[in-house]
Amino acid sequence: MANNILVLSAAGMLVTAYLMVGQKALFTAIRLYGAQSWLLAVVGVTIALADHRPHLFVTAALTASLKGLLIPWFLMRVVDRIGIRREVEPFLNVPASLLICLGLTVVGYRVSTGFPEGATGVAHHVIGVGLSTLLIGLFLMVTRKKAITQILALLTVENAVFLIALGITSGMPLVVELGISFDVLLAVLVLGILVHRIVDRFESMDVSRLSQLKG
Amino acid sequence: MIGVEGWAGLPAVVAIRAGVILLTLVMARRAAAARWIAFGGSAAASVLSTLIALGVLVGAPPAHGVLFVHGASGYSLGFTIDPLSAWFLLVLGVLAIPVAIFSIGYLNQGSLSHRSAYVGVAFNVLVGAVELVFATDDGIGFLCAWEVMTLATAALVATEHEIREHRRAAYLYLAMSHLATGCAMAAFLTLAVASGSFAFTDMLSGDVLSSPGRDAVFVLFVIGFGVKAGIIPLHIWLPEAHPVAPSNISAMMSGVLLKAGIYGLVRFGAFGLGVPRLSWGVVIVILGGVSAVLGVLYALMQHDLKRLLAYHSIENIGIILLGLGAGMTALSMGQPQLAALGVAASLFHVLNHAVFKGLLFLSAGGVVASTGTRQIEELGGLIRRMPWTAFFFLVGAIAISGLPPLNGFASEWLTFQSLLYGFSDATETLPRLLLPVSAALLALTSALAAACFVKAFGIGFLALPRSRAAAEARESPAVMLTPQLFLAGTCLGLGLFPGAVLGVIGGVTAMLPGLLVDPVMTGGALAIAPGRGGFDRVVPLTLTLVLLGALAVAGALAWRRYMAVRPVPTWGCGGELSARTEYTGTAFSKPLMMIFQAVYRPTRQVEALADVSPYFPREVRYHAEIEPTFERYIYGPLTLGVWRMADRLKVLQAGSLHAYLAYVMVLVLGLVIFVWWSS
Repeated sequence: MANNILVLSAAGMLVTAYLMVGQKALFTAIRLYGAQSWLLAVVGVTIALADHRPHLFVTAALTASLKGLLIPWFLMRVVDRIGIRREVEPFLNVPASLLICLGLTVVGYRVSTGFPEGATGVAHHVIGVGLSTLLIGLFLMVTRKKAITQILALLTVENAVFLIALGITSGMPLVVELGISFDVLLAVLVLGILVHRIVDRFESMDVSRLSQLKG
Repeated sequence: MIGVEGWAGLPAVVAIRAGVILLTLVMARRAAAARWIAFGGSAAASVLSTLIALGVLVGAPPAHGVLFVHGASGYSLGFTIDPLSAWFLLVLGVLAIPVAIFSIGYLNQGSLSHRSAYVGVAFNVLVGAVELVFATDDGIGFLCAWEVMTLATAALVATEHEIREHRRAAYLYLAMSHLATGCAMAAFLTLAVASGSFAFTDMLSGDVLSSPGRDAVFVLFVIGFGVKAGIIPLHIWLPEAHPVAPSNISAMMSGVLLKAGIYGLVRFGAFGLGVPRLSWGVVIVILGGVSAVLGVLYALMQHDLKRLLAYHSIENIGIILLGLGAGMTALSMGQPQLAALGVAASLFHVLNHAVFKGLLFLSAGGVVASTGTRQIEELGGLIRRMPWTAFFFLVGAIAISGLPPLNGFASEWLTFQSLLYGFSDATETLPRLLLPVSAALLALTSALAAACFVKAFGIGFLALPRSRAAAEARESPAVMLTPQLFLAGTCLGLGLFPGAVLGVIGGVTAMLPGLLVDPVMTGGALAIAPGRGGFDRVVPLTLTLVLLGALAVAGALAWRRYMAVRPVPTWGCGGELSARTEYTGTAFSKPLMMIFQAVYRPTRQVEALADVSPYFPREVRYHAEIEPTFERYIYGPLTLGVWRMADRLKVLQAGSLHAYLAYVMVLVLGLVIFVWWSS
């Protein structure tokens, strides 16, 4: 039972990542990220229940409240303020992007067998999903132009790393996880302000225009 | 014995320098105070480090200690002052103390004055870094100190950075130095990986590498330290950087910084990789011979006083290398006593060159400060306006020309001995051919050096002033003359008591692996004796007395005749004698330019401007230029190649955020696949 929930939630995270690749509306992408964080929280709770690790409850609660609610809310506010709702045409069109992400998933799953814990069973899926999501997040960062999408991609990478950590170690010490959570929060705050500045300067949040700064 | 405990001495020196730097920065607004604090403090710290070095040289056990410990990495910066380190520290101290005192006066002029704090701080950093270079006992500390030394020098070269030429020189120096440091770093890392440690005791134990890895590391060391030493063809930064630095810094660069390269070559190249191979010695001898001859030949053609001295530094580095190379060849052929002779000659010349070249640069600095020009064609007649400076320059000139009784003679003579004995004792054909040729080249070098300084002194200091600046020159103040007096005295002392110096050097060579010191060499105080036969003993003091006696006789004769002769003005062919009728530096060196045409490949232009008839020219313009062979044929194409490659690589750095992110992604993907692959 616990294993099924675990695999289902992890797979759900991968699905949200794919949906983000196919999505152009910024609000939807932010909501997808929120859903992904909730799924991550579910993974945490499941492991906490199955392995009797009470401190993972705290981690899951933090994930759900910070990454599932606070950060999406903040990002939506930013998007609302600057009034840009849609991602422009990415460097690669959506079908090609999805195909590449498929390839990245294959790589992620294949590589997960390289970890001693990831060869078989549930951990295999968790690590496989984690690696795939990480690579997809990086891919998103490379191909998208809006700064908000880049922040979302970065947060996706962070979620994926978290998932891998859960899969390999069944949870890091609480102090480390607390630290990471607040780091992420801080990063989002800073990046949100930065996006404002970029829009102020360039009247657009297309980061490919940053190359104009080059001397 | 001298009250400085070895383990505490060097940390004390570092602490003094740190304090001096802080205090100078605090007082930066008040130039005079900053000068006194920076250079007075530097001299004090140098006195302390020189005392430590002297203590080790006269027989105290090697000073060993730790400067600081970095807790997180467990790295500790330790130092060991063994006799070889102590010898180079002594060379540093003998020059750094007078130069510091000279600087107090030298920086008290015009444009330099408001940079007193800048130069003072950089000077302290520089001398401190050189001290660490000579003292550290592990690779990491050495490389760090080496880089600090390079950067401080570059900062000092660019002291007057508003002048384009100065910035260019500093940039060239940095570029060449980084090439060199890269090579040295590669060599160190290779040795460290092979021996499993960065400590010199492990890295340089001699058996960590076998050929051909050993040869490769040797080549890396030669390039790495050769650039700093200014060996031809790695010298191109030197004649650019030496003239444009303030003269006190030129003295340090020429006297000590080049020797840091020699230190590296001796400790790591020659004696750190086990018994040197014959080919290594041969390479060093060839590089030395080429540097010596080409250095002095190029020096002859210079009309910039400091540039001329800079080329002489290349020449002297060549002489040092000749001794070292002779020692290495002898060592590879299994002749430990002869090897000790060659290395001793080389180390002796290291000290001598530091002293007399330091003296020459300080005198030249006095001239530049007083006249505002470095061109010898614009000087002349300075012996009347600046008698002391002229006298000290003359002492330095005699010393560098290798004439007795000054110190240049002692070490050059020893170098001759090591080359000639190397020839007679050689068991292989190659050194048997090479060493006598090198000795001949060394003889040529000495003669040409003498010619060059006849030119420098004759044109610069004698006859009539060629410019208003020279005519109105004023003698340097006492604070600039006293250090020159000290250095001139040292020149004479080292020249008159070479045996005593050799006794000290004996202790240094004794610690180097494979060398055996002949007791005859280190026996007396007055004589230079390689200790191979009865006839090769020279006592400079006797030579001096004979020379002085002859001079006295000549003087007496001249005095008697003077009484009978009526003094009249020089005949000027009916015209008036003025500075325009004087022999110029260009004219003086022209015969040599014609003789060595094959080397110089000069281009000359004579242009006669006539009004009425071509037979009565109003003005004749003569322009001669020698071909910058190395710059044009080696570095020109090299620079062009680097530029082209950089242009192509620029595509990678497109300035696009997405491209950079893509690099990161490719890297992550590669790493992930690598992890999977390797498990």
